Amino acid sequence: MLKHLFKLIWNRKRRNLLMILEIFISFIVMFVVLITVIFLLGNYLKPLGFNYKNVWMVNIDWQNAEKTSIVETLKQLETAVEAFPEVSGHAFSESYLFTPAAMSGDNLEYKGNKVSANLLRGDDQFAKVLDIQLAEGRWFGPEDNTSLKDPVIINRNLEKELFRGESGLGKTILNEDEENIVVGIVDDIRNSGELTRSKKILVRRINLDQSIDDISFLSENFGKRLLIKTVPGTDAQFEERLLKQLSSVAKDFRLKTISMEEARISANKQSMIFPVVLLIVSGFLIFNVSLGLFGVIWYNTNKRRAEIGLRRALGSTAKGIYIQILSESLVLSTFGIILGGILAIQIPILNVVSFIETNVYTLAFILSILFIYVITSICALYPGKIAAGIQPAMALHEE
Amino acid sequence: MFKNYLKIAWKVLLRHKLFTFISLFGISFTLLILVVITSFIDHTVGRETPETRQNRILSVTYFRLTTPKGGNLVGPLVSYYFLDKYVRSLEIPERVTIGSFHKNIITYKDQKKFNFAMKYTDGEFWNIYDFKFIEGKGYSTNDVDQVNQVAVITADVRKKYFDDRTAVGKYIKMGEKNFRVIGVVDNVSLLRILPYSDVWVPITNSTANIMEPKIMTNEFPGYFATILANDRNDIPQIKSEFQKRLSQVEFTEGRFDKIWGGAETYGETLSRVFVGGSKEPNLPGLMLILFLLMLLFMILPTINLININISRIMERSSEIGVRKAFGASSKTLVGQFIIENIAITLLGGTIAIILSLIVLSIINNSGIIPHLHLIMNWRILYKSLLIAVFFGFLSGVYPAYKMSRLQPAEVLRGGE
Repeated sequence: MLKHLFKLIWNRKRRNLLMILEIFISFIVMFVVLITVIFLLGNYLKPLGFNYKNVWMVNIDWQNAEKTSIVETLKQLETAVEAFPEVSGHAFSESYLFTPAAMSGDNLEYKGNKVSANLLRGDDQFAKVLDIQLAEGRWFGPEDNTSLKDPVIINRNLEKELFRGESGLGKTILNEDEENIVVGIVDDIRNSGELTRSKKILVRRINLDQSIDDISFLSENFGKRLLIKTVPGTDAQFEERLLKQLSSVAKDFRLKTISMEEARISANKQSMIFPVVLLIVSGFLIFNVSLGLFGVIWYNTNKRRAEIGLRRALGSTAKGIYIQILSESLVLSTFGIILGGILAIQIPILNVVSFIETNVYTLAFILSILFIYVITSICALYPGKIAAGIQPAMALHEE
Repeated sequence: MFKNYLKIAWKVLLRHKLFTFISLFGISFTLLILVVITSFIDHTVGRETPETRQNRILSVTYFRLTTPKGGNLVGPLVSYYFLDKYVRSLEIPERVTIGSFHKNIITYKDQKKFNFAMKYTDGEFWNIYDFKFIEGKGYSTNDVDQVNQVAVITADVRKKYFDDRTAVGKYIKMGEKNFRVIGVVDNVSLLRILPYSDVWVPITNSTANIMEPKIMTNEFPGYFATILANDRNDIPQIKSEFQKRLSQVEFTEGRFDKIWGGAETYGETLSRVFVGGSKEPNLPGLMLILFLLMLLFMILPTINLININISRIMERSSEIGVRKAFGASSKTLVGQFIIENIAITLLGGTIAIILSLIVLSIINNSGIIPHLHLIMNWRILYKSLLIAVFFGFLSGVYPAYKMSRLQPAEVLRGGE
């Protein structure tokens, strides 16, 4: 049976070539779309690593205030925040939370293994405000004041790459020119939002009690934020009162408040722009192709009335004809899928996109194959039904 | 004869409604997507208020700074001091303006919260960019030198902050200062990133120490400069004059040892960022990539259309056989079929343009990009017609070739 179908398709290879080409390209399109969707869905299902509920961010822009006065004003801000009864905790940070374009920074080295990581900064309260759970070790604390090496906290991803599978806790790493000691490890902090992938994260400590020249937090003027955790049920009025109060304390700073919930929504919107455009465009392409396939299969079936009439006359059942038309289209898509598969498999082999895992590719591959089979059989359903309804006498009489 | 071809095309369209629908759907949606993209590109780089003098304008925005150890800093990160020293001193340009990239400022009035973009500029800004003033005028170089607290706002700010009443002479609070409004302009789209803002104020009002001798600002993003040439023929000279300045840059910070940048058009800057590794602009490279992407996108609808067209032609094989038997040459038949196909494509193109008007207004009103105003103009119409004809030609050639090879005797006998 299968051999017969191959022969039928082979005999009409010129006509079928274009259809195979179409299925081949559709397969590639589906593969890319499914990789994107599965990748985003996989990200979404992973834990975020922190809790954004009831947290407000105050963006701090200190322009050209004197370095010495900055620290003092920052401390005054802390006092002012503590005066609000709604506030249950606060922390200084340079964390790019829900900011899709994160700063990529520090070049790290451990035993000759060089890895670059995304830099975040947080003070001793950072983990408490954001509910960050440590997998190993501890968060920064006053005990770090006496440490000769700067303490850092890393995520699992960075640990895996930098220490090549060994445990990283308590080890000393080289960060540009200075030595850092790993005091804690978190599973992850996906600061750019739920839809983004897990990155390599290095958190450095903010300690405003150091001598001013040692506070690297002050070196540049962007991404500085005061995080404020409020008790549940705090109303929106709080934001205005907070900003007014803080602005009167820090006169030469430029402050801006935003709730983490708002920041999260806008970050997710930005991450969704590309996939949504991709889905719309490819959805249109696939719909267009299915319409085309449907038209061509229908037309071809109509042209083969004589052949089908003869088959019926020689004893083939209506169901048999139906199955034949369906399986012909399935065999045709198999050709397209084989061609597409050869090309598609190059993407993981050549490691074009390094951060996508193999199982995402595998799942996308299987689903694309299924999808193409489903689409082509749907396109063949109606023409198959018409072909099954052909009366041998009528068809042969016409001939 | 041409009229006859069109008549036949029309009859063929009506004969097989399913095929006609499939063809028109494919054509119109493919073109719709291309028209929307063209409109986006035109809206970003085309000649449009306030950038009406685009053919004489160059901008200095994006830099790459490298350290001796191989570190890299890339982005719109240079200081006002740097632009003042190395761009404003250029000799060939007619005018130069320096401004900050916009920053969003929160301000309150009557318990209401507003979030406005604010930009610091000098007085020349209003001479280089051609804003459409609804009220008043821009501030002058004199206003800037005198540190006058004046501001130009957009119609949108007037609507929100001043309840759409006359705004000139009234005050708006931005940060710690109160600014007297002296002009109201039409809204500017965020895609026009250099002129874009909601509120513009003289740069001397900035509390930042803008003349600190450093190449890089300590805020992000930094500043940009826009150059207006006397004549478009001066542009190559301005570019090389600026490159010469760059080669003489004093690295005051000590951290850096090399700087890459340029006085460029918007497209050149984009090509430097995306194709040239932020070192050299590569406009042809960017165009090639865009063109390849367009072809890649069009390939599936094209094959689909070819497939449908072949089915259509085979159905008409008896007509073609008769015409050939009566002496029509293959050339005539191929010509006829391509004209028919282009006619269908143009019909699809018309549908696409109507659809894209709807889609563009949906995108504009969705508020994804502030003050986005995508429109259909003659430039886009002309480009989309070109694309449509190209598309029609592409999908018509192969079926027409197949048709011309039909043997009249075979066809008339009823075979293939």
